[in-house]
Amino acid sequence: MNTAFRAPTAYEEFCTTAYRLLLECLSRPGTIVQLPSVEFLAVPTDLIAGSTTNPFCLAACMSLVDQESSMVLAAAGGWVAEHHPAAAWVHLRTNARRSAASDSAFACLWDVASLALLPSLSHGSLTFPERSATAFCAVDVLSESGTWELSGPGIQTTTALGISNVTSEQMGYIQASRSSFPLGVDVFLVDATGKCVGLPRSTRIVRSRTS
Amino acid sequence: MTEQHTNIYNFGFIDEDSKREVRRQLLKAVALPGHQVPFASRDLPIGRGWGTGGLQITMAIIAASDTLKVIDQGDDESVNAVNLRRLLTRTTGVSTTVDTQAATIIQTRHRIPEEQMREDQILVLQVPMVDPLRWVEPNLERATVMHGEADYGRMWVYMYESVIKAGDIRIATQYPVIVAGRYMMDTTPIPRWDVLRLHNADHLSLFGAGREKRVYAVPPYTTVEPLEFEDFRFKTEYAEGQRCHRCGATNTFLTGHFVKSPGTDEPGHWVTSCSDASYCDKQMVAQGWTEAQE
Repeated sequence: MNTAFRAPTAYEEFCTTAYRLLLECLSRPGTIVQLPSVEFLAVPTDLIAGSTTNPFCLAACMSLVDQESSMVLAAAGGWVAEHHPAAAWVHLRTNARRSAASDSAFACLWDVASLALLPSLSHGSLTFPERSATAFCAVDVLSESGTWELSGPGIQTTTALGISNVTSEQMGYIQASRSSFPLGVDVFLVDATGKCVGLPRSTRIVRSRTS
Repeated sequence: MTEQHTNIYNFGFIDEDSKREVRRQLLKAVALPGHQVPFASRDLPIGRGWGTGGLQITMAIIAASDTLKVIDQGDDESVNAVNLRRLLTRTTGVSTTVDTQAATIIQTRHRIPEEQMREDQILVLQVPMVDPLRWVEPNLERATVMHGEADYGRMWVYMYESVIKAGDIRIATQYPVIVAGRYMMDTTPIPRWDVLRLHNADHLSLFGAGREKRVYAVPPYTTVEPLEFEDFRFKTEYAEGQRCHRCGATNTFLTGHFVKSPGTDEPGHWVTSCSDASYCDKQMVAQGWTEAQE
């Protein structure tokens, strides 16, 4: 059959590949997927002084935003200012609006300390629960066994999740973000090697009884 | 087609920003099983109401490596399916199949394939009417508030009254269900036969309504409970002794056809066959049938 399309660019292809993986891991919470290489983006490691940038985490978040949506960055437990060079770097490549955290559709958290900022993101309203934020947070190492037990839609019974560097207090912020379903924040965790796990607000997270 | 017209469209027809719009809203739909999420439905070279919601979902998620199956009323060869498949292959170049097992994305109107779908497959459903509360609350704003408050009492009264007045639940298709114990959802025009096949399914189901500008989703392993009463249970269309006249299957959803031999005085008669045409063909092939015989 005749075809009539131009081949996607590297960035477009990345966005599609990444999306299918994000959809997969949000539909099946606890399933760890490997995000594709992001070398073509050439993310500088020192975007935010004093914090290591996880290029997989940043690129996954960027793949979902454009001028129709907004994105906010955070590192070391604080929001990154609108005019910070890192925010400008992201804006230049995505055109995403830079807005206050409480109005942002997406948040990219450089480290687990920034999970403390989850309560200030939008949780939506009962009539429009979808008007809530999605947060991407960089973690050290994800594994399919460990401290946390997940249950809810997308999970047959329960599934285990290990996150090497998250404290109970930090996990408490994620747990709190789903305490009043259908309001809440959907969270993706991305580790240093590009492994990603989705924690939609419908997922209940408890400390595993065996650990 | 002339040389200069071979690359005029974006991959998947709609532009990248439109794809991202659908993608963002689908993530919300997955996180809120059964909740209708508004999205900016684009104009397409296919009229709204002809599957543009499902089409935009497929366009937003499809990759060059996918294998696509498109069905309408269970049939791969009906006009709507053929046209949607042609638009998608012209603008993506993906390979297509009629075999449910071989597909990675299945776009459908009215049916869930008879063969069990796997975890690595995505079902995209074209939705004509999104809101199950329409029968009891035609005002969209008020219905949205009712969903927000899980205020479904009027729908239960509607179900009760239909039993009292008609002696049966008067809902043939679009049967209302409760998803993950929270949201009431319309099951598109799929027959009641398919409703329970959404319950704790292995695959992800994505629903798109282009005319009504809504998407919603049922993640895998999610409860889907049809509305029913303790003394008036949900029933499928299954009839005792039903049988496909082609392949002989007794456990499929059937459609009726009127058959009459041309040029004879024979009055003609009704026969029933599997609505899932590719499943039916598969059964026939297993019984030694070849296409030339029919």
